[in-house]
Amino acid sequence: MIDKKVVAFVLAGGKGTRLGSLTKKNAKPAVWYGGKYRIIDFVLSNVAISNISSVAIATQYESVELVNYTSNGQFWGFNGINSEFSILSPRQKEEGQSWYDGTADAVFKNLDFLDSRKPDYVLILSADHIYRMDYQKLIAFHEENKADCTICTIEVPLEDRSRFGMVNFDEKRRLIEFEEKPRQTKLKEASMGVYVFNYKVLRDELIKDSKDEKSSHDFGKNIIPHLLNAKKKVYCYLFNGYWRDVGTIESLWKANLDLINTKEAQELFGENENTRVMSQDNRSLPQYIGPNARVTSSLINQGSVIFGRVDNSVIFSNVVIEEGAIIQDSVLMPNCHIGKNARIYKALVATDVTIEENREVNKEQEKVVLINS
Amino acid sequence: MPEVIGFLNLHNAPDLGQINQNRTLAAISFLGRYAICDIPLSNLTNSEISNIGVLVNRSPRSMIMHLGSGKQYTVNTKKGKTVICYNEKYANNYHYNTDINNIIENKWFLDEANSKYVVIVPSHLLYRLDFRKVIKQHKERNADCTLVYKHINDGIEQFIDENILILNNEKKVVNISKNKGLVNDINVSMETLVINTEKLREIISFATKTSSFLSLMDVIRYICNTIEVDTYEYNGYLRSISSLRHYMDCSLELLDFKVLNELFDAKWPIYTKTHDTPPASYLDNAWVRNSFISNGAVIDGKVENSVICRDVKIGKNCVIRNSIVLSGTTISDESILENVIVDKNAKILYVKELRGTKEDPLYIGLGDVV
Repeated sequence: MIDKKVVAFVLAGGKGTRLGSLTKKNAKPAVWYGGKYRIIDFVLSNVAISNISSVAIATQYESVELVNYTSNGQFWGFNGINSEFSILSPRQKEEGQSWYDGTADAVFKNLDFLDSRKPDYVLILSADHIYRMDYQKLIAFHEENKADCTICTIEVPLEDRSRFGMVNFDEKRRLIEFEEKPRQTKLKEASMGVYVFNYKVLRDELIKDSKDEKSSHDFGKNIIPHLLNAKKKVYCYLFNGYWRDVGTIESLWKANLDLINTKEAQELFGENENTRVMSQDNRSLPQYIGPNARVTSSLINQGSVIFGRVDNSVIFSNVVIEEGAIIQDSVLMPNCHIGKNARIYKALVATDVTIEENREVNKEQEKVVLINS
Repeated sequence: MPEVIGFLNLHNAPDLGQINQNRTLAAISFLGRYAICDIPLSNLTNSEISNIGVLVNRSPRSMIMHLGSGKQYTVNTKKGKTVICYNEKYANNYHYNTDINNIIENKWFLDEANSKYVVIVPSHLLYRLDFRKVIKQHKERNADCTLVYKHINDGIEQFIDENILILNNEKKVVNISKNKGLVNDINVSMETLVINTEKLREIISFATKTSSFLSLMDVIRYICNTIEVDTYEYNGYLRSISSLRHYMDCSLELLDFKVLNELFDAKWPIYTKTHDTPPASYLDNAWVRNSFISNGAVIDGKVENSVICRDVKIGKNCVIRNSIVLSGTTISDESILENVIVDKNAKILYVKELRGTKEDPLYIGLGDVV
C-alpha cells in the first residue's frame, strides 16, 4: 500500500445518447449490465479493491437514480473508517451557478473540494466503462516514471480507432503524440479515459484551461494535448484486459453475452472472493427453474422464475419467463415478464417490460433490437 | 420508546444432529440464500418491530456471523436494533440454560426499551404472520398474554412432540401438553406469544422463586389456571423443522409454487445477509428442473428437485436429485447424488455415487472431502 493520498474522481455525468430509451430517465453509469450489476459497479469495485478510500463522484445528467443507488457508498464498502464518498453535483456558488461543461470542467469546478482533501494524486475515472483494474499498479507505474500524468491505454482494432484518442510514445512509453478521434492513423493504442495526475499539475492545468475560451474543457481534447505541448512528463500505461465502453445498444448487448462462460467472464466477475464485483443485492428468493424449463449457456440472477427455454442469454433479477417461451441470444433486464409461448431473439429487453403471450420479437435476427414496451 | 419489542428464542430448538454441530438451528442455511432465522426475524421486522433480542443458547459464533450488526433487519438503525442476547452464565450448563435465565441475564434489553408489549417467537417453526394482528387482538381483549396456535387435523403424523394447547370454550388455555401422536384434532402451540412486559416480569420473578430449571412455556403451563392466557388462531403455512428429514422435506416442498406462496410473499420480504455473488452460470450441458439455484452457482450437470446454494460448482454429467447442496461445495464430474444433504465447502471428488433415502437423507459434513 502506498502512503500517498489518492482521491478517485469518478466522472458519472454523461448522458449516453446512443443508448436510446435506456438513458431516457437514467444516467448511463446506472444502466444495468451483467445480470446483476449497474455499469458503475465495475469502476467503484475497482477503486475499492485498489484500497483507495477517498472517492468523489461527479453527477449531472438524470442523477436521481444514480445518486440514490450510490448513496453513501456502502455497497462498495466506502462507509468504513477513514473512507470518504462524496457526490459532487453542480453547485450554486457565491460567484454564480453553472453546469459542468466538459469532463475537465467537472473537476475544475470542484477544485475547492480537492484542495481541502490535499491529495498527492488524483485518479480520473469514467463511470461508463466496464473493466477490472488494480489502480495501485497504475500508480506504481506513474511513480516509477516520476510522471506528471499517466494515461491508461488499450489496444483497439483498426475499425474503432477513429472513435478514440490515439496515443504514440517513445521506447520508455512517454507520450510523444496524441491524436483525438483521427480519421486515419497508424497508432494502435487508445486512451481509456483513465488518468493519474500529480495534483499540483492537474490543478495548474485546469485553471489555465478554464481561462481558455476556445477550450471545450475535455481531458482528451484539451488537457492532454496541452500537457504534451508544455513538455510535461506524460506516460502511457498499457492495460491488458477486457475493456468496453458500451455506448450503443449493440455493444451493450454484446458485452452482456461476453459474460457467458468465457475467460472474460472470470476476469470481470473476479477470480476470487476478494476481487468480486460489489453491488446491491435485492431481496428476492433464489431463482427457480421450473419442471419443464431448459436453461443452457446462460447467466441467471436471483429472483427469476423460469418455466420456458433459455439459451445463450443473460437474465436479470425478478424476471418471469412462462411456459413455452423461448429466449435466445437475449438480455432481459430486471422485472420483465415474458408471457407463454412468446419468442425473443437477439434482443435487449428493458426493465419492467411485459411481453404478451405468443408475441414474437426480432424473428429476423438481423440486428439487435431494444424492446422497451 | 418502542411500544413493542421482540425476542427470537433459540432455546428449545430441536437438534438436527451433525448439521447442528457448529451452529444453532437458526443459523442453518435455508433455501439457498437464507438462514432459518431470517424467516422469524423478517416476520418481526415486517410487523414493524425493530428492537429485537436474539436469545442464543449455544454456538453464538454462527449467529454473530450471520446477523452481523443486525442492520439488515432494522428500518431505522438509530431507533432500532437487533442484538444477540447470550446466556453467558449458564452457557455450559444445559439444565440452567433456559430462555427465562437468558432473559434475566439480558434484562438490560427489557429495561432499556421499556416497551409495553413483548413478542416472543421460536426459531424452528416456520410461518408467515403479521404480529400486528395478534397485538391488535391482544389489546382489544385487554389480555395479559396471548399464545398463537394452529388447529390441525393430522396430529397423529405431524408436529410430534410439539406443545399443544388445551383450550376451554372461550379459547383460553387450560393446559399445555405434548403431542404424542395419539389424536388428530389438536391445537399446535406455535411457541409464539404476545405478552405485556409487566406480566413477563412477573413470570420471570415467579420462575426465579420456583425453580431455575423452568422455561417460559413451563411457567405458562403452571400458571395458565391462575392467570388468563388468551389465544390467537393462525391458519396459514406452518412447518416444524425438528429433524434432518423435516428440514429436507420442508425445503423441497417449497419447490411447489402453491406451497411457496404460502410462506413467501413479495409484500413480505425476507431479509438476510448478502454476499456479492455473480449471477448463476449455466453451462452447455446444464439440465435443471424444479430447483432453486442461488447466485454464484456454476452448473454443467443435471439437477432435479433440489436446492443449490451460493457458489456451488456442479460438474459435467452429474446427477443431483432430491438433494440440498450448501454453499461453496464442489461436485466433480460424473457424480450422482440422491437424497443427500451436502454441508458447506465440501468436495465430492472420489465417491461417485452418494445415496440416502427420503426418510433418512445422507449427510456430508462441513468441509468434508469424499
